[in-house]
Amino acid sequence: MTRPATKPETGPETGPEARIDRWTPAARIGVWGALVVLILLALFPFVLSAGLTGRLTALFIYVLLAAMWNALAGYGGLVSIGQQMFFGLGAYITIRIADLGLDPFAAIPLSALVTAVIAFPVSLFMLKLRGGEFAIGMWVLASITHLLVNLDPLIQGETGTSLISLNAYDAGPRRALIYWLALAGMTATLGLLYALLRSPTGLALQAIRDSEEAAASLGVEPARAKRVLFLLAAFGTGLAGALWLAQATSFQPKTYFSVQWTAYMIFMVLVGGIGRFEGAILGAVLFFLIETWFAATGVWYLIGLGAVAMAFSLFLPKGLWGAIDLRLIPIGHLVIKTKN
Amino acid sequence: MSLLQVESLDIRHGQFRAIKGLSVSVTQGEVVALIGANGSGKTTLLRCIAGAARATAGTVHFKGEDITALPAQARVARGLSLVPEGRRLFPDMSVTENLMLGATCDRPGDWSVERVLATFPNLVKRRHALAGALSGGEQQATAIGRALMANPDLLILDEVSLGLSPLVVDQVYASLAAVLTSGTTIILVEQDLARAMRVASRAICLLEGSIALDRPMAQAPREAITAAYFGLGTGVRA
Amino acid sequence: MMFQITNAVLLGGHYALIAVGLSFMFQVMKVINLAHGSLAVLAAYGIWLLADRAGLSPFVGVLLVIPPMAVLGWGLQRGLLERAGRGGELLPILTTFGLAIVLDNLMFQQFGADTRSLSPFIGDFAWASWELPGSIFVGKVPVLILLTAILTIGALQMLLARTALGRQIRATAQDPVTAGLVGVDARRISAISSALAMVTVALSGLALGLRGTFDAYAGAPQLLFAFEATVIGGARSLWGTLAGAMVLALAQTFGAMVHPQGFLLGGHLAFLAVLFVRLAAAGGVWHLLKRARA
Repeated sequence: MTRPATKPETGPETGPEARIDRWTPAARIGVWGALVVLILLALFPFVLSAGLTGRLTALFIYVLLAAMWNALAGYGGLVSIGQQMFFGLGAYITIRIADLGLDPFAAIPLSALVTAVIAFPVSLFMLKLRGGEFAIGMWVLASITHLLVNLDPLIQGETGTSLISLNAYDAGPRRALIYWLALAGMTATLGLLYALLRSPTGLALQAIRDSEEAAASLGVEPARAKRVLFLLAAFGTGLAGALWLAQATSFQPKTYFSVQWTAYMIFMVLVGGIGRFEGAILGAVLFFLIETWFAATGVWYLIGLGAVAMAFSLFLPKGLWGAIDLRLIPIGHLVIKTKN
Repeated sequence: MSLLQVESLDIRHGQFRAIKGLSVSVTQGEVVALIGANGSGKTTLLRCIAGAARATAGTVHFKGEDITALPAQARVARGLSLVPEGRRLFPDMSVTENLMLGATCDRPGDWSVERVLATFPNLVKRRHALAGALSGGEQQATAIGRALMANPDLLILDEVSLGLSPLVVDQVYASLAAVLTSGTTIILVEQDLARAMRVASRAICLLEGSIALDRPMAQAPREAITAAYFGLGTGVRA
Repeated sequence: MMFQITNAVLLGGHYALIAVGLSFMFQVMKVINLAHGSLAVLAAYGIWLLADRAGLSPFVGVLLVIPPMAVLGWGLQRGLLERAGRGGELLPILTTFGLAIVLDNLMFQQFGADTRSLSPFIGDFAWASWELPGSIFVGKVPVLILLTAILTIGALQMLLARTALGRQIRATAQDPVTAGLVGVDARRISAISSALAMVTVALSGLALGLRGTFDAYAGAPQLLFAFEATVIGGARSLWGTLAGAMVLALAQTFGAMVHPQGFLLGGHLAFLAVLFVRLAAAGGVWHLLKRARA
């Protein structure tokens, strides 16, 4: 695992003074720890109650949502108030594909792919927009998508419909399958993001984030790098929507295309830590806990979320992980001094 | 009486130290020529004195008051006006509107739109033209006039002749002659050494963020200034 | 057809009134206030409270609501937006989005789920109308709203063009640093601008309540309309915002004529179309320049 990425500088007669590497002891612990946690999680449906299995499924979906919004905003500098577009699309397309006769569990990942494909022409247009125009423009697009979905006779407007074909499965195995699919989907998407950020495109994104002009002058193509992120975020968010549908079974456009979902994503990322891989996960876990304890209080819960998000944006914009600043996931390179 | 007192001023941009522990004092009535190569720190220093740039360390006193933490508009209200490098007029406003803006602080004094137009006659027929449509010389005149509208006790001119042809610069200085001899304290940045030596009473030469020369103009021969400008020879410090 | 167009123009007046505050704040402070719609709803609730509890006519109520709204605007700028603006161009979007959520849900908590309206409090005036040639009837309320929009924009433009404060606002909008160098207190001017924007928001709250109904969550659609009108009009002048509002209303009306669900879609698609044309034109101009230089 220790692999110098560049030729080490040589000091006078005494060997290399520093090397470039990405793995630190903390990162190594972090990644091994993550693998252990994943294996444990996979075993949970055999031991946990139905309710807890369902709750953990929701947690995986939250992690997915947070990671995707974070990828877009934190690594791509693209703040979007319209990601609910892909969340709703993921669910809607699943219904459509299942209606064609495909098994619902196959429909879910396929629907995420279709969402990403739809996102491609969207990206060609939307990524040309600046900051605020892009942010709210995506909200407008989400509204358009909502309205168009309402027109589909299969959906029956705001009445909505359900993923009926799921009923072919018994409740127990169905719950477990949804759980594993969510776990696998979250892991796979996070894995894709991880690979992307470690790739040359990931480096390009970090350069663009720091200074788009400077990056472009080095030959980096900002448009292409942002498009890849946009498509990945669409895929992940669409997958989240499809998984949520599997969990909830019913589909009302108003629920899935609600801007509330983006509000949750913003909360998770602002609190957890924007632009940090670990931050999104932390934010999702915190959101999950807060939701578990406080959602019953109704609107006060939402008021609290909004107020906390505001407070973090003003006073702790780097989020909790930004304040802790511990590097558990090895993305990016470090200069490690080998001489004392 | 010391009008402007700068003590141990330090200005950093990230890792880069633009002004290094600089101290200088300007008395009322002086006309100081600030000379130095591009990158020597002239604009940074002047912007800091005017309040548009923050000092990392050190103090600036104006008329005995510590203004180091004051925002720019508070300094204008106290009589310190800067004509910024590159003029920086408001392009969508007319000459007259730019001038009227200069009087925002409403300081008592003789300067008015009419007096500015009388001082810079080339502006008279352009007074309703948008600032963005003016020629270089007209822009410079407007910028100086705008600063004068605040009736400053200390007028700072950063790069008067930047981007202007020699003939136009002559015109600007001809108009400025009255101001230069009116008793207003002036700090001006001028790349043309001959002109600077003609109008100023004192020469300060800046080299890489520090003062390399600080002498009354009468005791600063051309060779000494040139040497200080390029950092040659034995430290020609005042 | 004339009937639809007339109504579209009147609707455009309503959109212009709600958009002008958003447009003004964006021009001066470069901030898109996502809580804009929610603040209009807040004003509407305020006027409703005064009408319901104190029996005050909404036309009087709005005058009482304007001062606290102006103070709220001042506080919003100084307490929130100024700080958020230091974090970059995009952070205020997140902060005001959070504010919108807080406001919407606080209003829901306080006022419940019932929809409200201000028209019951103005008696017969709510149904009064004029007859135009061609036996087209136009409601007096929508005409009043259109007139208010035009007067508001006209007053703001006059303020900007002819007063010292207006010059200071324009200077702060163009170049806040240089504005400081000539003696303009950019922070104070921004706060005043925010207060002025909130005055227009109070007026648009009145319009919202008089034109129809509102509830605690009515802010988001109003924000989108305001944003679309601003962008269509090209966020550079207030009269442009009026034009943008007209285009939006016409597109919505036309959309409704094409399909029963087409009202909102028509507006959204017009918004996208304008953006698309603008992007294509910008690219096109560049290509023209390339050819000219070659």
